[in-house]
Amino acid sequence: MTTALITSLLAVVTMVQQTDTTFPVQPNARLRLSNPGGSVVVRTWDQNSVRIVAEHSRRSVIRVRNDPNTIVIDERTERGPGSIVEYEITIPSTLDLQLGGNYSDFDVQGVTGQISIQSLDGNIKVSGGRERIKLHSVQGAIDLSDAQGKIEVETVNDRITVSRSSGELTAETVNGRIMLLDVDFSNAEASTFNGSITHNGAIHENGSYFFATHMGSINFTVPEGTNATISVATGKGNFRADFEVERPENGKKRFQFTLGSGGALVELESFAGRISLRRPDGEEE
Amino acid sequence: MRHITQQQLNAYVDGALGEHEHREVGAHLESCDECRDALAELMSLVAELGGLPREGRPARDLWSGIAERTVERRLVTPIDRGRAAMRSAWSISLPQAAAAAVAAAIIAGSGVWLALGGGGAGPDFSLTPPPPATGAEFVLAPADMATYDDVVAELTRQLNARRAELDPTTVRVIRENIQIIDAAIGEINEALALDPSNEFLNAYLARAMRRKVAVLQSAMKLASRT
Repeated sequence: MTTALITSLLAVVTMVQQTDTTFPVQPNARLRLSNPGGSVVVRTWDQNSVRIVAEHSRRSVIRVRNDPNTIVIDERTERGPGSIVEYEITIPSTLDLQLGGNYSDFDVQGVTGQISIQSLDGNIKVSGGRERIKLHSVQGAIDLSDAQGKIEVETVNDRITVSRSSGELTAETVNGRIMLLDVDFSNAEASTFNGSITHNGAIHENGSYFFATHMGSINFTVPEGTNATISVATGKGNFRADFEVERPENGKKRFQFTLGSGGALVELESFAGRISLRRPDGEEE
Repeated sequence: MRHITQQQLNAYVDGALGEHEHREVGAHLESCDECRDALAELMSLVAELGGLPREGRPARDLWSGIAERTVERRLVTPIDRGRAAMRSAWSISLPQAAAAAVAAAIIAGSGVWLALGGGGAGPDFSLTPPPPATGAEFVLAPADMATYDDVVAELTRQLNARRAELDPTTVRVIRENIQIIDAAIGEINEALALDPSNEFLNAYLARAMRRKVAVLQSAMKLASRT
């Protein structure tokens, strides 16, 4: 079916208009939404339909194009795109999401499809996501939990928190800390310039883990029975461990040691901060 | 509160208002449709400007030459093998990092760079070249460095021509974060001056440069997305 369903819902005579519409969708479709300003909340339900509740200016129109495989939602004013819209959207959990905004906060829960969110100035909070999860912001914090798959999270001027997630991870910020809590990644790479990095989770036998910060500390929890080759490098920083580690006598700032059979590869780099290896029950500084 | 002035609106979007005034303006926007529309119009303008088509890119394909000449000299350790394996799955390899910074600059070729570098009083946002070849994990040939300088000069020209078109809030945040990265690069270069063959520092410098470019690319991509 190639015929597009165009739904244009015009204003009523109120200062802020509410649009409320529900329409059927394919459970494996992709939903695309562009919101230049305002918040976007996405929740799931057990129906093969999408409900959109949007608060927007009375001068604007919410447009929905529902093709068989793609739902496109945006908003237009008489003067062109770019008004403030507050969205609450309910979808089948299996939909893939592609969301974007300039001054937009995003809050997504329960989606089991792929998720891609980009925001210039706004926080991104996601619980769920499978296969590929890509969250990008410039001026917003990113919180991701209960995700599985290839995960890419990036911001510039804020923190990143990833919890209860598995698969493969890249996480980058410049001015913010990175927290990886109760995670189970086979490969993980995280870097920041001005912030600490914490990793508390599983270390896979053949996994690869690379964490780097310029001015912050690195707190890396080593589970019992870990087999890993650990490389530590610092410029002006220092190193400590909750357990005995063979260190070079000459005080070199870059060294490597092995735990167990040394299967996993762990690289920890902090130019000016402390690198700490912790037991699972160790207290964080 | 009376209607928000254009000056206040600009400052609000820029994040340049004091905390008290920011709250006042925010509260007024909640209740005033006219001012909300004015804000929406301003944001629309910002969004549209961010999406302007790119101007001319450097005439020469500078990246291909650099990629061919980039020399890889890695010490193969278990860690290196693991890192290389991971990098191949995720991103560019370490030896390519510095050269990729140049490549990314070419690809970027649009407003943010210039806006950041322009304005006279602002800090210098030109990319810091990597140090001379040290025989560590990677080197860039002198010809690559010359190309790099050409690219930076070209980008600077383009960006200076377009700096007024960009979202000032984004420019400010990116500028501050570029300063953080530049400070880091400065510290790394100081350390390298004392220990020029340090593999960690050389690799670290390359990553800092790559990140600097990535930050600019990311901001530009997001700004032009809508």
